[in-house]
Amino acid sequence: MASVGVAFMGRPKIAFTALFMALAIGMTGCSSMADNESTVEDIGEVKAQSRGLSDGLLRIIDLEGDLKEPVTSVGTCGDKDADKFYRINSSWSLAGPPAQDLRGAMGRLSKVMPKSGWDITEHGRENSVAKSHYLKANSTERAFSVYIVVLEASPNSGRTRPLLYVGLASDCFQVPDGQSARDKY
Amino acid sequence: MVTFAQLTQLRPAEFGEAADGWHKLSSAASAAKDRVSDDIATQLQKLLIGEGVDAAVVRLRRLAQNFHYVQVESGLVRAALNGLGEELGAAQKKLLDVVAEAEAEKFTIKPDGSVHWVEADPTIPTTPQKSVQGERPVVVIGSDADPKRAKAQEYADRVGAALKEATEVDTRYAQALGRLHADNDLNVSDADWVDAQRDMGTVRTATGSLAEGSIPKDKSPKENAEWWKGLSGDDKADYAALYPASVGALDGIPSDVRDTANRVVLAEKRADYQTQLNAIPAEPWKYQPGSKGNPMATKTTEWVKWDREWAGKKAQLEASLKGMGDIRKRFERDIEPGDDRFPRAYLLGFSPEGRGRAVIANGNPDTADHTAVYVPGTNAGFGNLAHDIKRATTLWTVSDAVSDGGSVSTITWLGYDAPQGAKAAVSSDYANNGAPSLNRFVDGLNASHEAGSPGHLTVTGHSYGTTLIGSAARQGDLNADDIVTLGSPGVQVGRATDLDVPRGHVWNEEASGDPIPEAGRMKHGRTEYHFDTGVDYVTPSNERFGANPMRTDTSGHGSYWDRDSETLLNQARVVVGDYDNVSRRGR
Amino acid sequence: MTFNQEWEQLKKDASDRLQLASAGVTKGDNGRGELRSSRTAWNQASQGVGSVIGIMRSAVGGLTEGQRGAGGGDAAMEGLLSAVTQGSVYRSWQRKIELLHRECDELKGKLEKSGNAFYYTDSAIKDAFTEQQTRPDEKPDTGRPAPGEGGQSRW
Repeated sequence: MASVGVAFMGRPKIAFTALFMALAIGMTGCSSMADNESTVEDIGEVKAQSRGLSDGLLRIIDLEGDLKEPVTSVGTCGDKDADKFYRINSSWSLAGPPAQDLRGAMGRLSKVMPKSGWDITEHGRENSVAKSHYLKANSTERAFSVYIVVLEASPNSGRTRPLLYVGLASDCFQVPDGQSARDKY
Repeated sequence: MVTFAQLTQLRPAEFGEAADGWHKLSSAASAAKDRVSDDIATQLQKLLIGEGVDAAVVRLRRLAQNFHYVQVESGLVRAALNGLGEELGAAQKKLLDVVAEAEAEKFTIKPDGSVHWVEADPTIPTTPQKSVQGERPVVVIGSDADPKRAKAQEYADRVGAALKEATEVDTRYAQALGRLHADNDLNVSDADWVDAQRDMGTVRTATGSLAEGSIPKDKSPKENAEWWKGLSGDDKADYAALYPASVGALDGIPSDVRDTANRVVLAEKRADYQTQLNAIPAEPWKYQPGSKGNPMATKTTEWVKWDREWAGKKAQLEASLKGMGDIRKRFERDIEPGDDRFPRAYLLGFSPEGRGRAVIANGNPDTADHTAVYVPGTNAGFGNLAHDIKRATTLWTVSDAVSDGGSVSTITWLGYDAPQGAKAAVSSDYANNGAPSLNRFVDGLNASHEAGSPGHLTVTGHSYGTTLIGSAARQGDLNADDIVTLGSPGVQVGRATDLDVPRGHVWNEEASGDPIPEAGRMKHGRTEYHFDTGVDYVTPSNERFGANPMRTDTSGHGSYWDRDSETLLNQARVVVGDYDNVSRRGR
Repeated sequence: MTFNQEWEQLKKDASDRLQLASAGVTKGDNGRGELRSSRTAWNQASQGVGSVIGIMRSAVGGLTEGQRGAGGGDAAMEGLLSAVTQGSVYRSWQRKIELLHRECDELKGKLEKSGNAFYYTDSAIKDAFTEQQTRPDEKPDTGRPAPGEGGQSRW
C-alpha cells in the first residue's frame, strides 16, 4: 500500500513531462524513414504503376463478377509534410463468385504471387469472428505493398455474399521539385 | 415620385413573374456549372492526358466559375424582385383601401390624387366642388367650417402617405437592383466575388422582409429540418441566395442545400480574404546592419511597426486561405485516366473566421447507407486541412470497396477549435467546448437523412478528437451507431457503455509505437481507484474500458490511415457494419 | 442512351483498354499513352457543352417570358425607377449570357475539332484552347438605363 502511495505521488510530474514530449513526438510522426529519404517520383507515374499492379493481380484472380474498380487516391505519410510527401492508395474488390471460388483465388494468389514479383509476408486466417482468409505482400519490383482478404459473409457481417478485397498502397514518395502533393487527391 | 395613377394601376404580381424568370436563370446556371465542372471537365480528365486537355479544362473551369457567378447574382435579383413586389403590393393595398373608404363616404379621388367632395349648403346659390390634396400644404382661406374638409384632408394625407411609401420602396429597390448589373467579360475575378458579397448585403438590407431573424437560431436540428421543409420553394431559394452562411450552417437541412450555400460563401470569402491580403503593405526589410557604436544587426523601426500592425493579420489570412485552397482543390480533384467511383465532395460547413470551421463530406450523407464522421485531433485546422480531408477520403475509398452495394459517405468534421500544440492538448477545454457542436451535427445528419432508407452512422476520432467524442457523449447525446477511437489519450468517461452507442459498438485502435494513449491518459482518461491496482487512468485501450480492441499493423500516432493496412481496413469494416470481419488484437 | 449512360459506357471502354495498355508499361515509358477512345472523349465533351447551351437557352427563355409585364409595355411600370432599373439589369445579363453562349460555341467547336483529329499535335490542341476568340460585345448602349431600348436576343 505504501509503495503504491509513493508511486502515485511520484508519477504525476514525470508523466506530465512524458505527455509533453510524447505529444510533441506524436505530432511529428514516428515513421521509419527519415524526412528526406523518400524517393522522388511523379504522382501520375506512381498512380500508373498502381494500376499496373492491380491489373496483374486481377489476372491472377482470374474471376469475373461485380468488380469495383480501383480508386487511386493520394494519401498521407503519417504526419509528414503533405506538400512534399505522399503515397498512392488504391482499393478495389470483386464480389459475385461463390465463396469457394474466391477462396480458390486466394490460394492461387498465394502460389502465383511469389513468382510474379511479390513477397508474401503474412498469410492465413484473420483473428476475427468470420476468420476470413487473407494475405499481405510486398512487391519486389515496385515500392508497393498489398493486403488481400476474402471477406466472408457471416451473420454479423452485413454481407449476403463474400467479397474479395484488395488494398494496394505505395511507399512514401516525394514530389519532384517545384510540385506539390497537397493539392492532389 | 410614384404617382396615384401608377400605384393604382400597378400589377405587383408582375414582379413576382419576373422574379420567377430570374429563378429559372439561377437554377439553370447552377445546373450548367455542375455539368461543366463535375461532368465535362472531370470526365475529360479521366480519359485523356496532355497539355491539350489541360488547356481545355482551364477554359471549362472558368466557364463553370462564370455560371456560378450567374447563379449567385441572378438569385439576388430574384430575391430583390420578390421583395419589391411584396412591398409595392402592400403600399398599393393601402392606397386602394383609402380610395374605397373615401368613395363609400361620397368623396371622389381624382387621378391626380386630390380628394373632391360636393358640399350641400342651402345658403350658397351654386354648389361648388371642393377639393384638397395631400402632400402639399393646404391653404385655408377664411374660416371654413366645412366638416367634410377635415375628413377629406385625412384621406388626402393617407393617399399621400401611400404614395410616399411606394416612392421610398421604388427608390430603395432601384438602388439595390442598380448594383446587380452584369459585367461584360469572361473573367470571374476576386473583385467580382467581393462585389457579389456586397451585393448580397445590399439586397438583404433592401428587402428586409426575409429577415435574417426568421432563420432558426439555437434550435434543434430537428426543428431546423421542420422549418426548412415548411418553406415554399420561393422562400427556400431566397433564403439560400441572401443568407448562404446561415443556411449553410444549419444542422438538419438537406446536405445538398448546405453544400450549395457554403460553396457560395467559400467563393466570396476566398476572394474577400485574398483582397485583404493583397492590400497589406509589403513587409519592409527586417534587419539593418549594426552601427559603429552597436555592431549587432537590429530590427528596423519600419519592420517593428509593420510587424505590430500587420504580421498577425497576414498570418491569419494566409492560414485561412491555405485551408480554403485545400477545400477548393478537393472540389477540383484532378483525375487520372482509368479512375472511377471517386466521390463528389459536399461542403456541409464552412466559416473562415477565427480558427475556422470546415466540414467536408465525400459522398452525400443524406442518401448514404453508411456514414462516418471523422473528428481530427491536435493541430487540426485551416493550416493543414488537406491532411484531414485526405484521411477521410482514404477511409472512403476502402469503405466503398468493401461495402458491396451500400453507399458510403465519410466526413471530415473540423467543427471545433482543435488545440494547437502539445501544451494546449493537455487542456480539456477544447473538447468540452467543441463537444455540443458534434452532437448537434450528428443530430443534423440524422434529421436530414432520407426517410425510409438505412442510415448507419459511425463517429470516429483520432487523438484529441476522441476526447471530444467522449465529452460529447458525456455532456449530451451522441446519437451514433458505432464509435471508433484511434490513438486515444482518453475519452473522459471510463466505460464503453458511457459512450451512448449500443453495447459492443465501441472499437478501439492503438498502433504500436503510438505514445499518445499512454501519455495523455492521466489528463483525458477517467481516474479510477481500484483495490487491487490502485489508481487507474482508464482509456479505450484499457481492457476495463470494454471497447473492442481492433488489430493494427501500422506504427506511430499518425499512421491510422496509412498503407493498405489492417489498421485502416478495420475502421472501414466498422463503417460498413461488417463486424464479424473486424480482426481483433491479441490472442 | 442518356448522357450518363453514354459516359458510363465510355468509361468502361476506356478502363478496359487502359488495363491492357498499362500492363505493358515500363518505367522508362513514362507510363502514358494515348487512348484510341480519346476522339470519343472529345466528342462527348463537345456534346456536353451543347447540352449546356440548351440548358441556358431554355433558362433565358424563362427569364424573358417573366419580363413581359415588368420589363416594359406596361405604362404603370414604365414610370417606376425600380422597373426601369430592372429592365437595364435584365439587358446587362442578356448580354452576359450571350457572351457565355459564344464562349460555349467556341469551346464546343474546338472540342469537336479535337475529337476529329483536326489538330495534329497535343501542343496544337493546347494552343487552340489557349487562344481566346470570344470577346465581349462592346456595344455601348447596354447596361445603362435607356428607355425604349429593347435588346434583340440571339438565342
